Amino acid sequence: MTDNIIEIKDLHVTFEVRKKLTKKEKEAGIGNAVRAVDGVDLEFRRGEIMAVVGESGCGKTTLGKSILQLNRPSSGSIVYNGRDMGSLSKSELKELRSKLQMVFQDPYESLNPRQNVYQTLMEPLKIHRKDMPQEEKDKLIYDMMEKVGLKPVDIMSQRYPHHLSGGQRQRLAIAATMILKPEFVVADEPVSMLDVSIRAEIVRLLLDLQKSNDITYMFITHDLSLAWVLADRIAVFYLGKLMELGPADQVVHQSAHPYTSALVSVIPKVETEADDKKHVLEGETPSPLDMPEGCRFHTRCWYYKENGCPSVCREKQPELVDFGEGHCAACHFAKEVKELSK
Amino acid sequence: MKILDIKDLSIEFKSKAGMVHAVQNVNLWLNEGEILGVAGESGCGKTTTTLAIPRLLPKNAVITGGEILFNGEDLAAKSEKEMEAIRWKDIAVVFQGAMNALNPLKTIGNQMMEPILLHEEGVSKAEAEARVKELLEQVGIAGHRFNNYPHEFSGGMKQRVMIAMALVCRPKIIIADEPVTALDVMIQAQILELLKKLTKEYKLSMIMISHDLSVLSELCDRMAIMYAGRVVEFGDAKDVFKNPKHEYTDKLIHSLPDISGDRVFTGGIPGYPPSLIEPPAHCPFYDRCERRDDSCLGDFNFTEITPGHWTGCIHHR
Ligand SMILES: Nc1ncnc2c1ncn2[C@@H]1O[C@H](COP(=O)(O)OP(=O)(O)O)[C@@H](O)[C@H]1O
Ligand SMILES: Nc1ncnc2c1ncn2[C@@H]1O[C@H](COP(=O)(O)OP(=O)(O)O)[C@@H](O)[C@H]1O
Ligand code: SF4
Ligand SMILES: [Mg+2]
Ligand SMILES: [Mg+2]
Repeated sequence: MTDNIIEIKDLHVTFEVRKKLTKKEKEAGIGNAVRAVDGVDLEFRRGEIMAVVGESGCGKTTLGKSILQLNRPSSGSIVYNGRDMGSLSKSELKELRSKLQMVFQDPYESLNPRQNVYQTLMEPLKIHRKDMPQEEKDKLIYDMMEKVGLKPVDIMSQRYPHHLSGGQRQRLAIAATMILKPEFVVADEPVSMLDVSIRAEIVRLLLDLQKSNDITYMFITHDLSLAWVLADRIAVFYLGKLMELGPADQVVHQSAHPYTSALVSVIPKVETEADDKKHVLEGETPSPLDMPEGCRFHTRCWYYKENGCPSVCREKQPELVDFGEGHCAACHFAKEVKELSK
Repeated sequence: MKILDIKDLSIEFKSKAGMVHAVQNVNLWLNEGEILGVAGESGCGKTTTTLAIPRLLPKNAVITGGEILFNGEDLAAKSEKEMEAIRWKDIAVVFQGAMNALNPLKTIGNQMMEPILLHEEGVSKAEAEARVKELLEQVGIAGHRFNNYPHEFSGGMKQRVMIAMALVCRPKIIIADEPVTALDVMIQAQILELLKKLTKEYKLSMIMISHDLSVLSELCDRMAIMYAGRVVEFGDAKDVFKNPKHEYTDKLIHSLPDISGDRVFTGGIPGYPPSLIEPPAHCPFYDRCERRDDSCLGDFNFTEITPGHWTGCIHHR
């Protein structure tokens, strides 16, 4: 039996945007609802790193926030350790908050500029560890600072966020996330705002913390090569929907979805070989207010264009094609695409 | 042929804490029709080095030594007036983050025409408009968007506008400072392809800066790796990637995940660069280097190891 910590079933998260539509827009079928997460099924196995990949706006953050109950799903369910989170009481939810945590892309988003490092780390303990003796709290804080490399602790503990470098701020945000010993952490592009030289060390820190605390990660990144080195599995999203899911190696080296294979093809290589074909997709992701019919990727799909624009792609939403071993892709031609990628 | 040759360039900033030695004895060149990549972590001096070329440095900067030869003439010795004739028309810049600094109150077209109307006498508004529209099309934006405002463009489109704008006075050299940083991967790929296409079509020579080595790996003919104010390695791009001579370059390259290699996470380079207020005279990477020994403590010495491949590491491999 697989031990799933989280199971997401047919999750939909819709945002109403307040925007006056022109007559033309109404006629063109443009609506007011952003389907940020549009029918997603996904489970997280206990202890795994699941990378969630896709261009901005595809719903990665919304999905992560929904798991943490920071967004209200419009339909579908999220089951945590066997219990539907929609059915939990307030106090149960509060208890749960300490188990499920998020590291944000921009540490400023989660750090209070008026709290120094010590106060920042004390805050979650005040709320969730009310009965813990002060000495124990202090010890926890200083140990955590050591672990994340905010040293020397006596000096660093008095620093305010604006006195920290970008890397140090992210270390602090990570410490604040980890101090409650969460079971599940959404790391939302935790390194994309950092300089390349600092990125690797922050990633290393996240990996070390995961190993020593048995955490399950949802690691959001737009960097597929980083996803490939880090993650056990990769989930690729496009316009609110899962396009491909599978073991990291299979998703990257035997991509079964044209979108994934395009993302793989644009990873820069030093040595380009003659048969390396780049699929640089034209244009930009369509507006989620005006989702394409059929396969939502067809307007930018290279396979569709290179194969005479099959009408099925315009007319029918593809189901997930299952290749076994947990590898699946939502494309009418997934088998063909996977053959081409090999 | 070298269109630009930077020799022993040093630049300092006046600051309260003392002089910041942002650029120290930098040597590099740009061949005509080539793309030179400049890589290194933030603060290592990429922007300062390259903005010295059209002399667009902040007010507190002083060029303390060296030459910037452009077609054989030293730009560092030219008057402000002489430089004005060179900016935009010979050397244009796509500034770091400039796409977020477009004037929200002016149309894209009007902003793009400005350099032409300011720098080229006798060009009518109609001619300028025609040129701008043609360039917009060249970078993949419909000409009719000339009258749109910046907020009507996505990030990728704004960066295309910035690139087109650098081309309006038909320069010979383009300096693109972090042109794809903070853009989505697919948009990055589009912009890189666009830059490649434009350098060919307009016979441009280009300096492209990035803190992310991987975006330079495919595009560049030559590479300069900077660390703490110095160029620590310079050479043919393929050569630098395949046979890195300096330990810093080596570490930098190997910290990038390589999907054709092993699926192992190698981690970063622990430690920090030295202060630029009192930078060492020896190799600046010494503190973090695994190859170091006492012989590294002699003055930094940038030498040609194999033809066209230079490094400051005495334990080069
Ligand atoms: N609070 C919100 N109100 C309205 N639209 C939102 C909100 N949050 C996200 N969206 C929209 O939902 C879509 C998915 O956003 P997001 O989850 O942030 O994507 P990602 O993290 O992949 O970049 C986008 O189109 C975004 O504009
Ligand atoms: N106007 C300035 N005044 C003082 N120091 C500066 C100024 N501009 C840049 N510096 C310093 O010079 C060094 C090089 O900066 P820069 O050329 O911008 O680096 P990069 O482009 O590689 O990130 C940095 O240490 C930076 O702090
Ligand atoms: S279903 Fe058709 S349009 Fe969609 S990804 Fe597959 S081939 Fe492309
Ligand atoms: Mg996001
Ligand atoms: Mg810079």
